[in-house]
Amino acid sequence: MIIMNSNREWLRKKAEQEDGCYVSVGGLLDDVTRVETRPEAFEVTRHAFIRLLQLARRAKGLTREELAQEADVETEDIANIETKPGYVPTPRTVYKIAQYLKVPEKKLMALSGLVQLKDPQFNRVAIRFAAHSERVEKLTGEERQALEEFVKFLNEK
Amino acid sequence: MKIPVEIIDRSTGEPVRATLFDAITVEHFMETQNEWRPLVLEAARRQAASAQAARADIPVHFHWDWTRKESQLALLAVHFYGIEYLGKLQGIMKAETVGHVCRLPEQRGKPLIYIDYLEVAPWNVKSIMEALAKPTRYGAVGTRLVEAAVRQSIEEGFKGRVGLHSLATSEYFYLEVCEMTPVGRDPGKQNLLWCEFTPEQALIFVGD
Repeated sequence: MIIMNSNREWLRKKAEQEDGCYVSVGGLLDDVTRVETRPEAFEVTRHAFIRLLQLARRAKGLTREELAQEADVETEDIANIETKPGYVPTPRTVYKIAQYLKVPEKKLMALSGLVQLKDPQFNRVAIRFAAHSERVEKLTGEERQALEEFVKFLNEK
Repeated sequence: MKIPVEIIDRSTGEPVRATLFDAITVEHFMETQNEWRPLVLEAARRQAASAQAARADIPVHFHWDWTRKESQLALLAVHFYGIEYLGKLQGIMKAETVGHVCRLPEQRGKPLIYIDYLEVAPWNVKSIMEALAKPTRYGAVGTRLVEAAVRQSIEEGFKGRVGLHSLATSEYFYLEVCEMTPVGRDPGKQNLLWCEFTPEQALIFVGD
């Protein structure tokens, strides 16, 4: 059984010293580095994010409203993501969508423009996926395959 | 283990009686995922949106491999500590008793407690709460977790020796507040700074 210091003066002093400090210890410093301040830097990955959302929604045969309901987000969020250039969704929205689509939250955060991943391959695959966007109502076999392959890639380590 | 430990209520400046415990469950991890992460992310987003946002101010600890941590809950050489107050987890730490040794020349090769992970709830971090325009709630939570690592080290017969890889944003705390010794950057660990407590430093830190 460990015994902790019960001296209140010591505690007050330590609390004062700790105030304003970050104390986190972890090992993933370079994995996700920062939130980018310039949304345009995420234009390419955001296209992939929009396409992923659209294809996934259409593959499931859902309207925006239905998808929003299923994923527990606002319909307006889905509409904004799909239609407004430069729109950056909230972390909660992306978090919920990631859970619904069963893809890693971190990668979807990166696609959506909320964080930046230092992974050249990630951007290359996202660009390729975004470049094959087609505006049709029903998924073609090619689109379905692209969707499946991209979701598989996102779930890879 | 479940023992009372005081932390500081920052709204009053007075000590409040919290609980230090080591029976961490998957539910505790879920609590940090569901309650902590959105706050940290939102603060990071707001900080980044601010013209004054500097790289050093962005929290860098918000993606942690929780799945791997959960799988280690039952390992004997791994100790998880939590501090709970008013039914909420205020801080969490993972400390390992094997697999790491001292690197400081005067104690090189001796066993130590390795802090693999330590994090306090975002509402206890001033810069995060400032970004969210809210007051910070409790103080000395990080201090208490580091103290627990030192106490564990003493109990294991390691005399208070503790080591850790500090995130860049946390170096001030470990070097200036805890007064650990910076041993060097570790190329095998993303060039993070390896910091170490000697027994003397550890005892001074915990106030013994």
